[in-house]
Amino acid sequence: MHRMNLLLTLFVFGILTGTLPAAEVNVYVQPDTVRKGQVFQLIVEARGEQVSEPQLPKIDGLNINTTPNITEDRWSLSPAGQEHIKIRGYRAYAEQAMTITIPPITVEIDGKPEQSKTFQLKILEPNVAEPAQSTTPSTPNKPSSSAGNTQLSWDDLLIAQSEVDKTSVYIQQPIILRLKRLEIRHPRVQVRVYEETEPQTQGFYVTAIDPGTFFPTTTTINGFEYQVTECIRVLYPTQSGELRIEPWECRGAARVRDGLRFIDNELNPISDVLLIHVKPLPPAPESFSGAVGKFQLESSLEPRETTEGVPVVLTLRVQGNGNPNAIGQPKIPEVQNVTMSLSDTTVSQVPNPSEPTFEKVFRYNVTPLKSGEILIPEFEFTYFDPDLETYVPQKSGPFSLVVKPALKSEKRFIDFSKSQGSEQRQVEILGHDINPIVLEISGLSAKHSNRFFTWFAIVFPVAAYSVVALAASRQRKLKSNPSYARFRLAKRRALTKLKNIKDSSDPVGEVYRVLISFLADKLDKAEASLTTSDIEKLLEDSGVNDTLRATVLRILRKCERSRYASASVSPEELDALVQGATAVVTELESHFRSTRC
Amino acid sequence: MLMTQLLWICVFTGIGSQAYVEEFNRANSFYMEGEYRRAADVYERLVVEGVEHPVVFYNLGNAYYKLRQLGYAIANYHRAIYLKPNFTMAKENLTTCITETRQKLALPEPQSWGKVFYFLHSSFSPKTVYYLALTIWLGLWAVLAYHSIRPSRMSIVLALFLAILSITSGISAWQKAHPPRLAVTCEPEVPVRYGPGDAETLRFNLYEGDRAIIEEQKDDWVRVATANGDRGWARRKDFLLVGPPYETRTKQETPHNKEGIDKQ
Repeated sequence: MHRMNLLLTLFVFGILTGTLPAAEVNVYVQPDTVRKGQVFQLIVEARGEQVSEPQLPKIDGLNINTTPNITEDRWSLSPAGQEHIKIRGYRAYAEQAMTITIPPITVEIDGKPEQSKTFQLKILEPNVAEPAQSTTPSTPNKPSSSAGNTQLSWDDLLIAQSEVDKTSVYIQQPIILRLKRLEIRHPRVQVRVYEETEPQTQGFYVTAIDPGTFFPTTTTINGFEYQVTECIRVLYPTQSGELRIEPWECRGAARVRDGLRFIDNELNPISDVLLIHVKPLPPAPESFSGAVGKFQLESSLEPRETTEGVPVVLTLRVQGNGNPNAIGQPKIPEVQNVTMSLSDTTVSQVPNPSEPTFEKVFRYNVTPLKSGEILIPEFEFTYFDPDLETYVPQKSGPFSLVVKPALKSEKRFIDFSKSQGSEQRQVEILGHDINPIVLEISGLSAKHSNRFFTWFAIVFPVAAYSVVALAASRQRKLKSNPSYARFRLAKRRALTKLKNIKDSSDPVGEVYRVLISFLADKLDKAEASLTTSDIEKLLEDSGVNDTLRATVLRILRKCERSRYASASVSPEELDALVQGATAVVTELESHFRSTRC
Repeated sequence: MLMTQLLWICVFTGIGSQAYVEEFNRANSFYMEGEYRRAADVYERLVVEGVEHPVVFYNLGNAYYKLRQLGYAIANYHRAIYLKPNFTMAKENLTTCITETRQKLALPEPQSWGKVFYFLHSSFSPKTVYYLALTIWLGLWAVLAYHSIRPSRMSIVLALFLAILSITSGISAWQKAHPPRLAVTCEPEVPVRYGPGDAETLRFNLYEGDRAIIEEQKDDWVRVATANGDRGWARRKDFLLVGPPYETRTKQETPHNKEGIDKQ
């Protein structure tokens, strides 16, 4: 993967064009000031028509990774022809503060070996101030155009840093290592981190500090804002001598908006090597527990009264900033007629914003074997304080314990060896870190599509409502509009009466009345005032056809004749009259309905 | 094939339920004997046959947890909680699984407009929300019908109230039935890139058990969004869709192309 560099190639926010003469090799370092253990870039820049790979010589005092992590090749056209600029960057660091001579580096350009100029690289101690640039120019060949600090390179977008709070310590003395990841915050730059590696810390015991609630901080470097993400590790050297905290790496990607296009690039910043000088501890007293740092001892005995054979708990708490795993069990003096056994040891982190603090708790079961008052004498815990450079003893206790005599029936032995297997199995089953499976189940069936039911449930209420609303509307109209009600109900009334005509004492007269009443309802007229001649005129006005009109009049006149001539009507004639009247009512109903619409 | 057909006949005749219970019990027996792979297979067959029961998904999640396949376990716990939101045991197991993932990513939040409805129905099962919406809908038309027979101001107010409630519950039911396309990473490490293609620049990595919303799909690639707002393209095969529809480990199985549950 090609990597781009500030000094050499595409700038993130612009393009820097080189001003080197043809067939020339330049070597310089980045950054300008290099300190002991700091990883820096040794950059070789060669220019010509045909440029081969640089031949990197062995340089005394420098550890160089000969595989370049920056590889950039650019071609451009000039009046003299095509120009090739080859740029290679090598990671390097120095273990000692000294002045190193960078010998000429050979690159074959256009078939001829070209060499860079020799220069002196001064490696500074980590805490020494940077000398004035004018007096000790460490990288004389560096192009002047790259010295500005207002532009960013890809390497500036994501920075990995390592810091320790001290570089000279005693064995087991805690060192706080801060691993900082700095991500640039810029509207045109988007940085993503997808992998981080832990630094190799051979010779150290390492614990991570729980950061608690995470609040990323921000910082400003060269006028650019960075978001800082910090991981804290506490390192406890386990051997004396010169120990190294190797660099840690961070892998990510950046996307930079350049006008309308985006430029993506992978980022791989690396932190500096840190060197730690570890001193051995002075000769230790007998009560030394192994703890190095600053500690406090607390103890308690609960309860202070017990019965013969019933254990009480003695708790010793050691709290401090040293390695909790190096703290040995405090020496408990032997007490007659009492058995003491360590039942539990726990280590936990104690919230402390100023420094990482741990607590190690030792719990002992103290079982009195005889009744009476028992005195548990004081016990000593000694640790080494690196600030005072001496061993500090701490004492706790004594405790008195009142032991009551036990009843005979209460005197029993506890045998831990029996039934252990079944108990262990039970513990395994109950001790799952997840809840157990559910064995009972109900309503287990395959799911079927309820789409039809859903649509039915949506449409049905609407349809039902429409029917109900229509019916209610009709009912209201029937109640509120008498002429409408007469018109609508006329047929039903007429047919009902015709059906029951035989029950009437004057069936022929009833047929006449039924027809007159039906027509009065349909034409919205008063029934009493209507005569046959009126009916004829009204039917004609209503557009009833001649045949139907004649049939109606014939039935009415026949009824009149029968009534006024007192002529008796045979049952067959009455049936024919009723059938004729029924047919007429039906036909008139359909006529009036069609004309009304 | 014949067994499948018979099974489906059984389902429709009401005998199927018993067959499923027997299969469920068989899976439980495998689980109790520590044969988690076989237990997971039988539970999954039930899912493939169309059984959607929170307990089946929960037990399946447990089986996958025991197999240390955190992605599948998390997806199945999510399904159990989706079908039964007050399933405390599933929630606890899900939390346990999440704490064991590398990044411990939070669950992506619903879209802003959907949050209102999310809070309305998050504690109800899809079935409850569905029937509630239908009941309100029926109630609305019943009140309207009553109003057409006996009009009153009270019935108008009630109908208006039910109309608003009906719209709300309807959207809620639809949203509940069509949840965001939540997916769980089932591979140890899944590269997420700036675009759909292996040549695209790597943007970030997802790890087994990480949850993301699938926003878009192009061929074999999906655009995923995580809870912290990271977006990118990853291969579809590296994710298990929580559903519905419910994918299984082999993903291509459906009730129509696999053999019956009685066949091993």
